[in-house]
Amino acid sequence: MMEARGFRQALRQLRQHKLRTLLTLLGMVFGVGAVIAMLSISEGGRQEALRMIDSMGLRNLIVEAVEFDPETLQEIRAQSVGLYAGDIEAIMTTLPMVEAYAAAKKIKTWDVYSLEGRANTEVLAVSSEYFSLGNMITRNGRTLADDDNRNYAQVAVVGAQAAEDLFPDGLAIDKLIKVNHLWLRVIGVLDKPEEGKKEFAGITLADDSNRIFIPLEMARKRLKIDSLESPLDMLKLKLKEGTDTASAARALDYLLKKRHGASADYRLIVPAALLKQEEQTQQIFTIVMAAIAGISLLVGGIGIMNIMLATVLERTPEIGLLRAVGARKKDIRDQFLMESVTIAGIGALIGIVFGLFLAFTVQLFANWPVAFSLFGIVISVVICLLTGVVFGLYPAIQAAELDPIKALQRD
Amino acid sequence: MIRLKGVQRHFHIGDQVVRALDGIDLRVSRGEFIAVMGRSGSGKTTLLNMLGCMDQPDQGEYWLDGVDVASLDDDALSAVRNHKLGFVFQSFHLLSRMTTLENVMLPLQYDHANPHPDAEERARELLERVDLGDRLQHKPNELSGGQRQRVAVARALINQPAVILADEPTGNLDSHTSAAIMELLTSLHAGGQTIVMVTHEDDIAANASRVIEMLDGKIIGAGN
Repeated sequence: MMEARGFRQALRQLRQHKLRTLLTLLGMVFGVGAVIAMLSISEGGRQEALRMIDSMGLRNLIVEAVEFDPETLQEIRAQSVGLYAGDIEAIMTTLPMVEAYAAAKKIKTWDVYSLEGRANTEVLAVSSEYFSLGNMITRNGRTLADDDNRNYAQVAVVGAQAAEDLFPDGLAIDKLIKVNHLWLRVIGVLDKPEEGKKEFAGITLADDSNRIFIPLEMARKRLKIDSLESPLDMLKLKLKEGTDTASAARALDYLLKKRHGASADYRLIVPAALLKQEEQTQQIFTIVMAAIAGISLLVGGIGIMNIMLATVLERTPEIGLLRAVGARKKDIRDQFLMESVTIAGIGALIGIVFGLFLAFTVQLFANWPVAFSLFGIVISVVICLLTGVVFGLYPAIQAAELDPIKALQRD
Repeated sequence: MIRLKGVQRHFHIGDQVVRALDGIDLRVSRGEFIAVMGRSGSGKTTLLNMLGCMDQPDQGEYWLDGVDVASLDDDALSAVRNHKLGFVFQSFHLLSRMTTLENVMLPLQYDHANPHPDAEERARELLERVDLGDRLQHKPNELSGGQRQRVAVARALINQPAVILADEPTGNLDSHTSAAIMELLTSLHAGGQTIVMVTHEDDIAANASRVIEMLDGKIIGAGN
């Protein structure tokens, strides 16, 4: 009740000096705005990174073939044939912690179409485990099975986007698509994955939505693959539960180094390590942000203190009068504190709106992922109000401690 | 109503000691209208501040309406001012952002002990009494000097004070308006209100029931 009246009086007082209040607010607005914007962007980046790392599988190790330009490739191939079935065999026999594997090979295509449409998609020849290791589920039909590979079955599983392009009317199962010179029967359509970035930490991520998956063995047999190409482009290894990913990664790297010599035609990706790295980056970012927030709130707080000191000076006769009619020191102090906290609070609110606006503008134009950080908003408001109290306290105490007689005389 | 006994108040300015009040004995009975006169620097304003519980004696006793003021702390003094006193200043001291009505209600806002659901009603009545019933929503800068001082008088009356303390209430007003304000104070006095007024104008002081003359911190004459 008292607080409500104090708040109304504070608002009224601030309305009295609109421009001054606005200028004082700016410090808080920009401070909070910057913090909220950065938090939203960083939270967006973090969620995206976690989602991507998660999609790679924290218990997985990934080996990718490195691409080279034609001249270097000649030299490399003189030492190593690239990633191939022999590597898988070696891994599965020497590394007991590897539970399962999936292999994939990108197929060079010049033409992909169906009787109903055409698609600009990527064709991936995969082993049957590829789907289970990537947590990929079909919307219709089934994924590839071991039999499909063994029988060189001319079948395909298509991603959601590819299915839409090839079969605009929506029905894809059992229809035919043509990849280069080869007719394939669609046996499954994948579920649509979440929207997200295509690249993370320099690694291109699978956008399975616009892909066509065909049996690896069938592709090897029926589609032409350039002899200089690495026989496999990607190898995903699933580790047994409880395995230390770091030591498994070291063992794998050691083995592959031995087999591929000095050619360095593969690259090892450890999602668990990426996660750790991401967390560290996040931590640094948080510290930097806290520092920026601290500085901007300090600046905002000094602005508030400055304006409150001026206000106390200006309203000295009023303070004298209030004391004469019976206001206690505490009443005066609270009234001025209420004003500084109100400034800070309004600054925080405008700052939040401004920050969110900034974040979503960034999302719109820079296409960065942005996430609404409730924690950030709450903490900003709390810290702002605290700033209002801390920086308003000194002027408020000055006001309260004025000698009422002298205050009344100053006119 | 008011009893001062041997009240002293000294100020130290540099190494000089200014004896603003130097052994004041004074009794003011209920319903009296007292004018305090004296040259500037005679201590009359210090006396009024003392009576107004804005200041406390270095020595001596001050009893106001049965309360030993000299022994009170700051919060208690505030409460005494709020409950027992009404101030009228030379320069009105109205808050410019508030309406007439709000200015009059202001003291009740600081009466923490009692709620005042009828505050607005009372303020309205008082403003009608000072002939400003049609100026309730005006801001002070929309009023003339005389009107402002009448608002201030209404504000001083809102808590039904034991004593009204007026510090040169006509000092900023022309003679015509001064007369009107004095008429108002006189009518309050006639209604039984105790008033202590500081002035240096004889014709203003003539309205009082008793005149006290001060010089160098002492009361040198008490006439009628």
